[in-house]
Amino acid sequence: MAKDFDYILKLEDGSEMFVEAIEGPSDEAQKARLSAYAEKLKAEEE
Amino acid sequence: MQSLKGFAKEIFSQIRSEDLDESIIICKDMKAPYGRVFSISFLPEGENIATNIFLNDYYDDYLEGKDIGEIADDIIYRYQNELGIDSKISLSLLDFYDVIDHIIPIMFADNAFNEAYKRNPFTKVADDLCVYYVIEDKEDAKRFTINDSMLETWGISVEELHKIAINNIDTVLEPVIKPLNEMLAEIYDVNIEDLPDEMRDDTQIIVTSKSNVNGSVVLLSETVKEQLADRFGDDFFILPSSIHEVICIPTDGKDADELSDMVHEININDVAPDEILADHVLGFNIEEMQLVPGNELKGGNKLLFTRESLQHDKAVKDAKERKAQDKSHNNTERREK
Repeated sequence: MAKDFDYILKLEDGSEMFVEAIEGPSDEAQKARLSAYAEKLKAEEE
Repeated sequence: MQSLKGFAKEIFSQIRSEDLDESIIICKDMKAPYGRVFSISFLPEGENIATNIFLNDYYDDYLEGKDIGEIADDIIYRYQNELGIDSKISLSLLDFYDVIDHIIPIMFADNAFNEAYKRNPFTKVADDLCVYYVIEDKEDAKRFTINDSMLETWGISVEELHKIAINNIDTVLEPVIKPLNEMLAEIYDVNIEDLPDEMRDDTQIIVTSKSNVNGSVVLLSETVKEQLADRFGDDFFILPSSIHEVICIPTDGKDADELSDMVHEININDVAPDEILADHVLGFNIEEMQLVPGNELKGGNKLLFTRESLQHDKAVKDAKERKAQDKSHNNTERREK
C-alpha cells in the first residue's frame, strides 16, 4: 500500500521541505531476498 | 454522497472541532501528477514539522459506506498514536555550513514507481536515480528532502550537491562490507556453520550501510570501491539486490545475462516494488576502477562512472570557498552599514 502521509518542515524563510520518516527493510523481506540470492547463486554454480 | 472536496471539508470541520493539544489544522488541496489530492495537515503549536495525512483513500472508504465521523476519529487516532515524529532540529537547514556534513545520497530505481523523486534535484547514476537528503545524525529516524529551493539558498549546483553527498558516505552512512553468509547468520540468528549449505558461501560479499537502510548507495564511495577491489583482486559482478544493499560476487565465468535474469526473477518474487534497485547486473572493472554494465565487464566502453567524475574534493573545496567568500563579503557589508 502506498504511503498516505508525509511530513513537512516549515523553514524560517517560509519555504518548506519534505521530511521522510526513515523506515528500515523489514527483517522478513530482507531474509527472503538475501536467502533467495544465496540459494539461486548456489544453484547457478551447480 | 459528497464530492472529494466536500468530503475533505467535512473531515476538516470535524477534526478542527476536536481539542488536539492546540495543533493547527489545515486542509490542503494539491494537484499531483496522478490527480487531485486532499490532505489534513497537523502542526502542533510552537513546532515546525507538520504531519500531513492524505484523504483520498479515506474518501474511498466513505464511498463504500463508512461514516464520516468514524473516519475523522481514525485520522485523529493515527495522528496521535501512529504517525508521531520527533520534531526537534538543531541544524539550521538554511545555513550551508551547518548542513554540508549532513548531506547524503540515496539510490532508487528510475521507474514509474519513483517518478516523484524527479521533482527534486537528482543525478542519473547508471539506470538509477541518486537523490539527496539532509540527515541530522546517524541515529535519527527522519531525513529532509533537498529541493531546488534549498540549492538556490545554499548557492550550489546539483553537480556540487552530488559530490558533497558522495563525499559524506564514509562518515555518515558508514559502509559495511562483509560476506553474505555473515549477514544471513545474523538475520537467522545462528552461527554460520548452522546455516543451510547453500547459504554458507563466503565469496559472496554484501555491501550496505551500518544501518542497513538505503545502503546500496555506499557503492559509490571511492573507499568502498578500493576495499572491494582489494578484496576481489579482479573484476567482479554486482547484483542490485535492493535499495538497501548490493551483493558482489566473483566473475568466475558467470554469464551477466543469466545473472540479470536471476535479479529480475528475485525482484518479482521477493522484493517490494519500492525497494527494487535495478533489474540487471552491474560489473566492476578493476583495471579502470570503474562500475560498468555487467555484460560489458570485459573490454566494454560504455563506462557509467569514472574515477574523475566522482572526484569530489575539488568541488567541495570550491563550494566551501565560495560560501566563505560570500559570508565574508556579507559580514563586511553589515559592518559598513
